[in-house]
Amino acid sequence: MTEVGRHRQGASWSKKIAKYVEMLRITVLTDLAYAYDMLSRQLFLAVVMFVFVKLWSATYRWEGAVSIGGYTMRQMLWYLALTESISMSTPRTAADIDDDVRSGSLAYSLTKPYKYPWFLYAKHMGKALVGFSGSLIIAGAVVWIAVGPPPVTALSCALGLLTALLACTLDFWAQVAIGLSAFWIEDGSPYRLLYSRVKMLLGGMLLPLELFPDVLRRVVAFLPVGQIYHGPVKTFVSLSLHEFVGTVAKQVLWTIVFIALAGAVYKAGVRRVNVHGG
Amino acid sequence: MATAISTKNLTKVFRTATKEPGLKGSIRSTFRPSVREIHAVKGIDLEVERGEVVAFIGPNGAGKSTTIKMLTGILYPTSGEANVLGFVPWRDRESLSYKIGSVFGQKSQLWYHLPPSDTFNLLAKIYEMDRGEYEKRKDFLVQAFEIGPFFNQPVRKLSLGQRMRCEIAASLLHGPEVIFLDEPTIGLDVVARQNVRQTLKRWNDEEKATVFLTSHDVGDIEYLADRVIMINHGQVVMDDKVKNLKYHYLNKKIVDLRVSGEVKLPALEGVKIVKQAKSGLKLEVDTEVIDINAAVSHILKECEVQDISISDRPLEDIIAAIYQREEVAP
Amino acid sequence: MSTEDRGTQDCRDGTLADGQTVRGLHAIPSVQVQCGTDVPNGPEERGAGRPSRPPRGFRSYASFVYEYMKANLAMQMEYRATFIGRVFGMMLNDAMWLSFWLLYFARFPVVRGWERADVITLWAICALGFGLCFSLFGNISRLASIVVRGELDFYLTYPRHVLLHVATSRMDPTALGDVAFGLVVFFVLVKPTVTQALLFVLSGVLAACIFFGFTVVAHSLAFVLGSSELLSEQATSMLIHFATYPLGIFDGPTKVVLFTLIPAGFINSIPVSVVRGFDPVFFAGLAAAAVLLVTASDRIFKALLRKYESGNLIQVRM
Repeated sequence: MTEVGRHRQGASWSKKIAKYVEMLRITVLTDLAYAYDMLSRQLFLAVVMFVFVKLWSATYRWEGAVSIGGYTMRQMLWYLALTESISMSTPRTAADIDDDVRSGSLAYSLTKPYKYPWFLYAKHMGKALVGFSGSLIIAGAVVWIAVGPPPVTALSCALGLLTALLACTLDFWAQVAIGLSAFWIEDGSPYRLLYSRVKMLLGGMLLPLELFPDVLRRVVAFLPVGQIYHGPVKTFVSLSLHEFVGTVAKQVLWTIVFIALAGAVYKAGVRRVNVHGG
Repeated sequence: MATAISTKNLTKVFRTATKEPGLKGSIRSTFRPSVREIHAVKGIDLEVERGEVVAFIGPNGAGKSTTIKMLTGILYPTSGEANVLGFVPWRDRESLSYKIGSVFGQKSQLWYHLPPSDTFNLLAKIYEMDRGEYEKRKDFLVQAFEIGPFFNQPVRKLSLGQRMRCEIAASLLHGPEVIFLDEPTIGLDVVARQNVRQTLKRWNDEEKATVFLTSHDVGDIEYLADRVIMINHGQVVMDDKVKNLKYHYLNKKIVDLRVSGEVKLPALEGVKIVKQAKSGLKLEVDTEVIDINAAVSHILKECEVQDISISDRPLEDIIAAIYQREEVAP
Repeated sequence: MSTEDRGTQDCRDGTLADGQTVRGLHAIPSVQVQCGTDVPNGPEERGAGRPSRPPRGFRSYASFVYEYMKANLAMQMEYRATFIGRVFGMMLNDAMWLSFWLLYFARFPVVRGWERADVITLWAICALGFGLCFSLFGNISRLASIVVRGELDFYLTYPRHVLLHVATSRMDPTALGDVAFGLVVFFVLVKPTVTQALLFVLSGVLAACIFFGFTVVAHSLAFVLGSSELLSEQATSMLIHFATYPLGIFDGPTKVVLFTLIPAGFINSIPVSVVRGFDPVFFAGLAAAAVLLVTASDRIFKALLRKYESGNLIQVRM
């Protein structure tokens, strides 16, 4: 028995948060150690962006329009470069949770003095940060060559980054809720796929919401999926403070909903550990 | 001495829904699930003193890991009480987690692609250690477990034995008062296993922590533990000093021989022939009666030995023997 | 048909932590037994005068492929829920892409002469072709890694066409989702005449040949380059990606590439011929490309097989 073991209950807030920051740092380190690997894997994004450049050049020329749905071609392509980068770098946290539940790692994490979901959150953000930077370098390079520099300002970047962080957080908690369903569901992969595809299509990853039929656009603009791609990316490429405030409000609202949902599932799930045993 | 772990009538019943095969079965069991009850742990009473090293053994499925999971707060018991260092594990899990450490078999807590030093830094943060106390502790462990030479190499480049030493050192970083070691030598070769055992021994001679150890290796138990608790079918079937266990069950060594020519082994007290084939011989040596060295040199004198190997009785044998005795004894 | 997700899905179910393959070709020993005991009944061994010439006939190979298919499917059925989930998952994935196009055409009815029905047909053909290729020959998407790891040894010990044997050893369950998607979408949304339906199926089969040939050639690079897994995978992904966009959106230089290096142009030029009016030139092009690629893949694989270095892992499979 050593001196080290005592106290701790009253540890300061900074110490409580430091462990999650360290987790984030270590995730970034791990992912950076494989940056080359990751970049070569994401190289395909260049092809995707090249095809988009061709598709939208053709579309703008055929339509004879300077602006479609409020986007110039430069805005449109940078919009797609950003959504594709986000999509490409979204961590598969739901699948990791699924693994943790099935392998029993989640149960073992209970013997450690940290909150499992917050630990994962740090990991999620770390992965997203490294992945997004890598993706954006590739996608951005293609689009830059095709249509020039991104149509952003310092303000739109700052606010865009803020909504992007919120979007990532929202997505994280939705993934936690889905991933924890592994306590009950035999194979979670179809549900994860469904979530990711609905998010891509309705979230405006391939096509900005402005180009959707009117009714669909109104519905999606309110749903959580509308806040993950479209919300932040629109802020980057075509900032409107009015829309920005709306986006942030909806992101916060939906995040709270998903935290509550994930919390409920987690509580029920941890109780489930007792039923399953090991 | 104060008590580190105590349980009273600790019980765990798992309820699992059994699913019938096929689509029809799935549908039927959705509406009318048939539930099967598994009594994993049936009223266990334990008392472990501080500083004691206890080996917790039993066949697979005996309820060992369920018990450990309840003692570490992973599982809620169905009924009964437990107290670890003054905490009720499942209720005070987080407070308890600062005071216990655990190594769960092959469940690694080291980050595979990073050097152990990075995991140590992370753990220091997780356990909210001060910089100075962390550095001191780390230096002590790096030295005690002799992990310095590869402390800054990615874990994936380490051998299994090196990894296990890092793993155990990592779980001791926050200075736990009770440590749960679940199969610490599993999968290691003879040399690495001996090495892990020695480091553990050396560390505990210094720290005198309470150790709760499970292992399938008789050597681990003999070398490390003071006391053995054996469970089977969710119940304690034996609780004894290792010394006594040695006297009754660990006093036998198995000697396997390959000989050339005729086998003529004169009777020797304490040496029993278990199996005899044309050129092979299996002996059981009772080390209480005859020293193993004496027995072997005797054998070497009498036979033309081509190959010889000495081993402990496998744990399964010993457990079977104990279990039989427990059943026979009133 | 997704290029990005397929890889990771395979990764998830196919490999353990240390990159050790657990499923796929090694997991079906029973099949190997069945295939080894084929009755030799091909025309070639007649009159050859040799006592035990390996079976080489078309019928023999058809039954060989058929047996493998049955076994692959049976293996998938062992995990029925997972299997069905995968099939529907892929249909969902394809549906997402198609929905993108439906949304796109709701906003822009015509682009460079392409209309909604053309793009639906294009997606249906690609899905059918890709699905046929990878449900029958699912293992070709792992060919490069099989070569690099020296796992070809196993196939070289059998008296069978090596490439065909490797290719049929595994099925990609998601590919069946593609097949189903292609058929459903075409017949429900396009409502074809009999001629259109026949042309559609023919295009699908020819597209499958192009996917097959190109993938094999891309993965055969592993014989020359060593670990070319990523490059080979991305080459196939590129073909699929280009094939699912209307040829009309690409400019001259890109088109040259699409009819040579990445032969997607033969596929994404065909829908108009299927739906609006048969154009023999495009079909001849598609058929020629299909035949050429399949033949070339066979030749190239065989030629490069000489460079095969086997593995340093000693693996004996019984």
